[in-house]
Amino acid sequence: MASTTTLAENVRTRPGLAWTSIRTWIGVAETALGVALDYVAISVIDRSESAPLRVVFVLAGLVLARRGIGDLVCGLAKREVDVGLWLSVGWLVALVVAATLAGLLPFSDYIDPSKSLTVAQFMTPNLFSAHPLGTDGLSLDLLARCVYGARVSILTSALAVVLSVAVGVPIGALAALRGRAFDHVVNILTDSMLSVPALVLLIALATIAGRPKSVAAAVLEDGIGLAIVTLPTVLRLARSFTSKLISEEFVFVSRALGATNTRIVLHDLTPNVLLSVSSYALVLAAVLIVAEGSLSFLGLGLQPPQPTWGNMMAQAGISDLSLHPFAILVPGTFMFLTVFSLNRVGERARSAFAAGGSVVSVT
Amino acid sequence: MIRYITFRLMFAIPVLFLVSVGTFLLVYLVPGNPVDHIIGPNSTHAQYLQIQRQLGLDRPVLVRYWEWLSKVLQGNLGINLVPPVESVRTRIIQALPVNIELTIIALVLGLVVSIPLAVFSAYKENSVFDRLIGVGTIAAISIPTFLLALVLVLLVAIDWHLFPIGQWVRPSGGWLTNLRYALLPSIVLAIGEAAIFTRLLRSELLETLNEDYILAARAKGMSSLHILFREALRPSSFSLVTLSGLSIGRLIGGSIIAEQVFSLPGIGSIIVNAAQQSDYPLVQGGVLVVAVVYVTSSLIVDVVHGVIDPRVRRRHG
Repeated sequence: MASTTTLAENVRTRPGLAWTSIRTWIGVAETALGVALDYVAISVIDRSESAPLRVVFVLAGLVLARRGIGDLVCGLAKREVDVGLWLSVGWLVALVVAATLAGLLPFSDYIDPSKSLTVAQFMTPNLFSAHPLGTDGLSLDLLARCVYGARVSILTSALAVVLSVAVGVPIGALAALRGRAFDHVVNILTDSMLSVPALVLLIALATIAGRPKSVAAAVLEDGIGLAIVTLPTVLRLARSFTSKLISEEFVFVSRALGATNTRIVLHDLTPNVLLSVSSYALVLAAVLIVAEGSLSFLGLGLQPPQPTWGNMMAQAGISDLSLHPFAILVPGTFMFLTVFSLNRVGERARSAFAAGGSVVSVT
Repeated sequence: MIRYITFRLMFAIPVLFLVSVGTFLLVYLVPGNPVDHIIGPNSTHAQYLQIQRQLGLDRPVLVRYWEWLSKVLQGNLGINLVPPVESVRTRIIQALPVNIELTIIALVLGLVVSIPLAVFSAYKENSVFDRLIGVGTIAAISIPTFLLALVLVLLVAIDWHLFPIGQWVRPSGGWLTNLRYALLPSIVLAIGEAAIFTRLLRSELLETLNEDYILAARAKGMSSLHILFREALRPSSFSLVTLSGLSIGRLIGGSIIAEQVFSLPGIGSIIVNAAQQSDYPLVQGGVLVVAVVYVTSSLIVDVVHGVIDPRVRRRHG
């Protein structure tokens, strides 16, 4: 058994010339077939056809296209490339760029139903029309709403990560450095905060803050709420990284060379702890985007007509699910791809930059 | 052992105290006045003062906290504001069985699915199956619960008519019927748990499989199945035991989304609906109960962990 594994590995990692050139063409064929399959499944098959069949078709198409792109890139590069990782990076970059430039992009109307009176409701996605991903119950463009919704998700989670790191790292590091009473107090505080499930805590905070009506208010209120929820995780990360780093040789050497405590903290520890904690930023952002989505799905986040992925899905609702699945699936797919990419890229960042590998699981 | 348990208890008490302060302050921090939520805009100042006195809001915070806490310790969580006005305790006692049932089914399902997957995935490290498990578990962790719930409803309930949705039948209405309504929401909860369990157990198993005694067992000619399940699984499952214990606490309060999508009358629905109607005493009671359940279950998990793994005991003892 062991020998076959080795053999298979050799073939994969050190391919011959013939294989790479064949692989490129296999990749092209697979991609084309996958895209065709998805196109047929989404646009050609009649709406009345059974949904499971379409789901199977769409998934098969996606898997095939993904394999195809993988083979294509590896074949062209003549070596193994982690295509999934780069696709994830690509999605995140595209999303951030689109969300930033949303005002300049040629979208149909996303917020004012009075301007979309002539447009049909619940149009199915058709990539070559004015509404590439279809419309919702108020005839508003789903693509545009998803991109504007991305603004809320990205800004909220980014604000929350920055805030929780800014507050959590100094306190967590201090807990590790000072130890004793201060450490115990911090520990008890984090434990108390972690004893309430994140979403319950968020809901409680949302009752205090009220429901935001504008994007700015939502980003600020939900951002602060999410920062409070993430704070204990960041505190623990900072604390464990600091206590790990402080026993490292470079700190010992620094001390032996006569460095003061202040210099060790500022010059040796801070950059390393910050880097290690920041390597978790993407994974944290993934969790936060789901949390923000859940909050607005429950109707406690940004209120409609302003779009967020969560409130779009809540608006489409379970009653429309069987008739108009796209109104839910389109924002759902945006959210899933974003969270998946953040996790994928985040895990790589974590293993690359965190001191001593991963120490705490975030989820 | 006793020293270890005392140490853990000493730690749990301040946590519970802080949680109680936090939930008490929740009502105190709400902008505006609880009295305004009860009386209409046309009421007189005298009525206002009367309700304020009824609620005890005219006294200092510390006194109010003390009274609230002593009532809570006697199991009295007060009454809610929005009609139908009931005692918060009754509402929560009605809701808890739903959560307990969902949690148990989800946990069992999660463990049953994840253990074989993790074992096989660790056994064939870097194989196609292992990679599929790697991507699949990230996907399962990444998919938001509400999306997963909605997609499952769409497929399994609406298209295939396998499960009924949209209501809840108590066990008194027949165990089998009850199970039919509970299974789909439990599956939704179980998928996320199973993904986390699989990832954890796989990485622990990979470490164990590198140990010398596994090599020795292999050299003795023991079958792979025996080595994996009899020799390697047990020492690798300490953290799984801890994690599944913790997920009991987490699932009790963490099934909000599933409850909401499937319209189940659990404690999560109570908290969300109360939050939407600004019914603070109910939010307060729900949050408090969820937190106490979590702290208690993590306390039990830690003690059990200390019993089965002597290293933990010695570190703190």
